[in-house]
Amino acid sequence: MSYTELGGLVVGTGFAAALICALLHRMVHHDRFRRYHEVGYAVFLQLGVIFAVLLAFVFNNVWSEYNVASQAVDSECGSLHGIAMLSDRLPSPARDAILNDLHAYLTTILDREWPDMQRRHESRAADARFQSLWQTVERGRYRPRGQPDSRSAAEPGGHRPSKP
Amino acid sequence: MTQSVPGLVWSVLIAFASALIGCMLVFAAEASLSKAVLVGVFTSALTLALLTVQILDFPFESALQLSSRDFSNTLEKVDRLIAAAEPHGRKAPE
Repeated sequence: MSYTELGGLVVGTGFAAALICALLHRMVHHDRFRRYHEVGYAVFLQLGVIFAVLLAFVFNNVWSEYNVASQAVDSECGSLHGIAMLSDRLPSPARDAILNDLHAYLTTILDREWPDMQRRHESRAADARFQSLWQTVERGRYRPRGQPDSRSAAEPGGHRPSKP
Repeated sequence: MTQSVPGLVWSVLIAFASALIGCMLVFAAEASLSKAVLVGVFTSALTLALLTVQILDFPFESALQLSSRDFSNTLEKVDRLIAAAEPHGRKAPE
């Protein structure tokens, strides 16, 4: 729903309600409205308070979850950038493998996962790419400065995290 | 990817909003034009509130959707790192 559609819906419902109100005034006599005024006013106040409280709780909930989703995106981007910066300091085979997998994962996110999420679907392709990146990191041979050649602390076939 | 606000809560919210608009319609008012404007503005306000909840409920679609710009920026940085390695004989990804 774009801003235009949102504005159209809001203005449209307002006009429709105003039209119904005007038609009611033409069809129903004023005295008949007066009979419902006392009851209608009291019910309106009661319902208004309940509606306001309910709406406030729901709004707070969806706004919090919106912020959580936003922070998850920021966190994942920061983590991926961290992986890129750390892998850049590795020797060539491991560095190239990790950066290439990172490139493939980010491309899959932008080309496949984001459109899928806009359609309210999960993306198996992005999950598979993330697993591939994780396996590449697991298999890599790293040689920190001043130390002999050593494997990653993570054992192949061990714990594999799900996609963040 | 599913909505966080259950269908029952949506039903209650819409029922309350409809009841409030209905109550406002039966209020007596001498000037029908001003009353129609009042009802119209009130209905628009309720519609806007409910639509805002609906939009926030799905962060990856609609007008307030989260941007993928952060991922694009990260991809650019990764591409720069890959490109920086090319002069040394390393291959860039396809």
